[in-house]
Amino acid sequence: MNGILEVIAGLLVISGSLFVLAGGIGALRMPDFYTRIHGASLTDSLGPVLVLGGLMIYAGLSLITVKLAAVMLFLLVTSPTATYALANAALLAGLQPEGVERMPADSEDGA
Amino acid sequence: MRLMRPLLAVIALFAVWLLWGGLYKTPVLQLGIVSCLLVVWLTYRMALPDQQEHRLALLYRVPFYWLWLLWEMVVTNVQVLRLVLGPRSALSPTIVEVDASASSKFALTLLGNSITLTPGTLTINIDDTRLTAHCLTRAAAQDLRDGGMARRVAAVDPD
Repeated sequence: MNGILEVIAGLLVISGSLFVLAGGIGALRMPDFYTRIHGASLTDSLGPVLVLGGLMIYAGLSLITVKLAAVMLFLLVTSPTATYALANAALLAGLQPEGVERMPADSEDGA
Repeated sequence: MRLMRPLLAVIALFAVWLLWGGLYKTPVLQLGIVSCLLVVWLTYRMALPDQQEHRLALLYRVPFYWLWLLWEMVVTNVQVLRLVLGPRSALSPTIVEVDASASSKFALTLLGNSITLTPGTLTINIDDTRLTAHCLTRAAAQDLRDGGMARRVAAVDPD
């Protein structure tokens, strides 16, 4: 039982690390600033969730798990906020995204 | 009475400090009190907390939304992973605008952060009436436009 849980925890941590690695590759490979943010956002969405989830399974029911859950919660609230601050600052500074197609809100259904 | 809320905030923060620090030495405790005071002072200096009433209903609706969002994150992470490792020609960057005139501030924040949190869509601007997002592919933009996420956020916070 313990062995199986450890294997599952290890697999989660490894797959999370792979997502973080892919985020780094994405930040390097994407063509312009905004698409690079998309690539890099792999590192702060599923990557840490998998790594912290794996560590939580590894730690079992303890105060450490509660702390890890809190870290995950804070990350999931703060990292999109930081990403938005970055993207919005670039937009306000006048950096235009390359080669985009626009879909305005009020063309057909208007919602 | 005006000091009641900041004082409660300091006490709550310090309780968390004690629980998570686990070190009960005098210099650590002094540092804890000072940083709790500093955090509350900075927060009040930045903006007074909004006076809207705290709705307990959000407490049980938000976790269900998070479960759905977690699944959505798994799906979009795998999609973006493919785009990152695949050829550049698969990209079709699109900017999409979503109407948000009916949402409360909480719902706008939740929607904007959820869009950013799922890779492939990125909130770049929010004002009172609409939300602008940059999407990696046209398909992701179309999904956002169809409004599945916006409907779920509206169900969490119907005001």
